[in-house]
Amino acid sequence: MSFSYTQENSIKIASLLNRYPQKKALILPLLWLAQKQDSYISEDAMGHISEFLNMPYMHIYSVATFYTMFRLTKPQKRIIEVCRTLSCELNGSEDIKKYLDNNYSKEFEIIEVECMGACSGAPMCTVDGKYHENLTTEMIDEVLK
Amino acid sequence: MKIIIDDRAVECEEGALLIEVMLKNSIEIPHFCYQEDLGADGNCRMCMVDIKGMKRPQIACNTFVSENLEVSTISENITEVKRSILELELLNHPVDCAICDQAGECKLQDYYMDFGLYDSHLTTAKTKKGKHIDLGSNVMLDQERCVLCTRCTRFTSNITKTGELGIIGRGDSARVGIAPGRELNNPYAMNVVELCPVGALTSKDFRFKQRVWFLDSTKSICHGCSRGCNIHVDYNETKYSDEKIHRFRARRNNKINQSFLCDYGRLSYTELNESFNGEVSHVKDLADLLKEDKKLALVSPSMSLQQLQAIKSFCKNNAIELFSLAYIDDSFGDEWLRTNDMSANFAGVKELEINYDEGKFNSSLQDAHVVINFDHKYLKNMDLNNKRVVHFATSHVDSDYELIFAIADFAHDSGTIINCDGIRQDFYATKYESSNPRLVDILEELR
Repeated sequence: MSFSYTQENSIKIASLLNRYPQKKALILPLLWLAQKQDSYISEDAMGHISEFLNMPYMHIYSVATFYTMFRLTKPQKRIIEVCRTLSCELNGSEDIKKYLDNNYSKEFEIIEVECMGACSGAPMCTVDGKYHENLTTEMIDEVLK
Repeated sequence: MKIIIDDRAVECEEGALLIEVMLKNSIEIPHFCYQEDLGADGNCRMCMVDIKGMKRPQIACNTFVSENLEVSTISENITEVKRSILELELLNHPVDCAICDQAGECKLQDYYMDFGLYDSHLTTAKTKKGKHIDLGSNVMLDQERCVLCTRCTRFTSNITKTGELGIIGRGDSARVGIAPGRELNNPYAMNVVELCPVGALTSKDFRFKQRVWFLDSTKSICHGCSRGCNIHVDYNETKYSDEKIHRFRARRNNKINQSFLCDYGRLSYTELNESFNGEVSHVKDLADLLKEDKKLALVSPSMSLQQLQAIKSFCKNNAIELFSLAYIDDSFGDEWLRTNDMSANFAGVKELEINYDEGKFNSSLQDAHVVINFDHKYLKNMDLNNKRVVHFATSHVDSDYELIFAIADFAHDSGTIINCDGIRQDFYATKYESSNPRLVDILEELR
């Protein structure tokens, strides 16, 4: 199995290329796009990035393992990410997490993550990468059912 | 320009790196990540010093000296700083010195004895990481012993540019490693073992064979190719066995090999342990043979200038036609240390004006009655049935020659060789007497 970006992502990459003085600055966006495309970053994707940027594979792998938000194994279930940083925590993210764990952990993989920049809508979570803000338990049932 | 280090005036150049000035003046400064040929990385924080006029301690590997800089390395404050840093470095360390091969030459161990000696503050379990990981190319990794100085990863990314090693993960679980399913694979890979200041990277070839404090060391030159990399020969003699050479280590020479060696050269020490165990001939028989006509000699281009000189005058006195042929392997050389010419002293052969014309040699060989081989590999396996052959060998020979003499190898016979760039270098014999006589002594006897 070999990896290549979709046409849509390739266009995005081409426009990103002009944004940075150095090609190696593209590691993070490239990893993000790969994860978005496949739901995780495969070895082939990292190989593709390493060839694209002309950098050793290990360097890409190092960067990918440094950031906890990159997934290097294929997720078995759909993913819910619950924010646990300050604003969400103060607004009850702990209860949201508990509710999700108790009711949805069979169908979903529930992960705690750090701030995703949606503090105005705390508490928040993502389902398949899509933001859901001002969460209540009723709202969760509504979204997930 | 002058600076003051621990109340002592030190002469140095403006803008030099403080740690380099200290090392040059033999002022003790603990460091992990700084290495002369890899440069500073500033990650280990071990080289902290107090500088007059600065609020906080500074790292010596990122401080450039200026006039009248006042540096202190021994104040109580700085010792406490170093102790705290060491505590962090050692937080997840397994402290298994007793079974660690690095013990005795481990920086972490040394610095602990100097600055450590604290009780652990750790109340939770240590972070477990990978142990005895075979990276390939004879290198074994123990991630728990690592202090993350990144000397090894900087070596593979900046020096060999192969980039196999890197840091995986972060924080407490950060560790050196290779990407899954890949291996450390380059002709200079074993340098990372020597670069590693602690026991994280050890050599599969050397580990568990000998404790380093039992080893003696002598200054020598690698004879693997014409580069003439400077080495330490580490050897010892134990109670119930003969002298054994255990390893070659790089000896720093910034004109030739910096602090590095290729794996081929590093492992070429094994040749020196192949002792000659056959029967040696009498020198008298050789003297008789020299009365014959049409004699030819071939000398190894890896012999020292002293040996070559002795052979040259021996051949002149006895009317022997002398040749030397270089060992050329076109697949061996690269753009860095390795050269295609695998003879250690071919430049010396040229300097002494010994004939190295291969065509001339082959035609002379046809006519010769007596062939004297001074340890040249070329003739070792050649069919010389109708000739009378004399063989001088540093290691064991299987072929059945008329006369065989065992001679001391380069670890037991000091001398001088000239490398491919014309640099003349001396190498020295180990402190133990070789069981074989030196070539020059045999030739002296024949005069």
